[in-house]
Amino acid sequence: MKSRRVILAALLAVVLAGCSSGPAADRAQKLADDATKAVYNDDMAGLTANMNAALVPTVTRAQLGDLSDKMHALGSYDGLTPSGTDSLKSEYDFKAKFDKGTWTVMIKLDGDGKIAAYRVAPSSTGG
Amino acid sequence: MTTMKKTIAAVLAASLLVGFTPSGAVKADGAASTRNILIGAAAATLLIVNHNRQVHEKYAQDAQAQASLAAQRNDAQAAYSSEKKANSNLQVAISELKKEVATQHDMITAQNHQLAMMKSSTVGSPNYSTSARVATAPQKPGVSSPQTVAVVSYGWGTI
Repeated sequence: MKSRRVILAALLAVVLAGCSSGPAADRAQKLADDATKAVYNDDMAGLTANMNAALVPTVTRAQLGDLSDKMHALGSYDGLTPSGTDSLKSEYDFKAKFDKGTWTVMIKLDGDGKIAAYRVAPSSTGG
Repeated sequence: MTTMKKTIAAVLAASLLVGFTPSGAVKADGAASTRNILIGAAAATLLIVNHNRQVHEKYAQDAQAQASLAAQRNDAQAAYSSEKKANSNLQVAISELKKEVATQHDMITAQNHQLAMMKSSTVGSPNYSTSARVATAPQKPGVSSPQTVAVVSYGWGTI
């Protein structure tokens, strides 16, 4: 009986692990980090590399330059940390740390794992 | 014309010959002379009538030719007048077309200017810069949804 409970618990753990969005979240974080670095470096090719076909045409160099200037005003970029996830919508929030503040980075992935939306906003705690 | 003269001369000669011809050895009387004179007069009259007819036919031909030439001349005049009118109308049309092209050029210039203005203002476009939900505080254990506020966000796509 005891061994049955152990087996059930193990199965439950396996199922929960399978249901968790760990790999997807990791991928989202990598995509968000790459995109944020591309924006910071004013790198159009790097930014649009992981965007889906519908989002790429909406990006203009003027907007990219504007956002890059805003990020540079915060100092150097120090990376992302996860701050929220909506797995049903495939939306992921991160805190982007800069020398002079923290901004929120939000990305949305499509069914192919491509970036369907990328937005940044000043956080309440900084920026 | 020479044929006519020859014909008249031949007829006159014939009438003279008829007049000089003895009407008969036995009956050389006044009646035959009168008959010969009448025949000659009739022949001369016929010649004159025929000549007049031919002259009038010639006149008619000349008149017809002149009429034809006049008609051609009138046609040419009418054609020239039509050409002149058409040319005048074409010049007016060309002038209007030039005005239209100039107007369209102005419109294109204005639209290009507006397009350039739109491109330069896309940095502040709603799609690029819009409001977004941002958590005001880190999530606490047991709290299902974070407290959020609306702030201006920058980027591409809708979240």
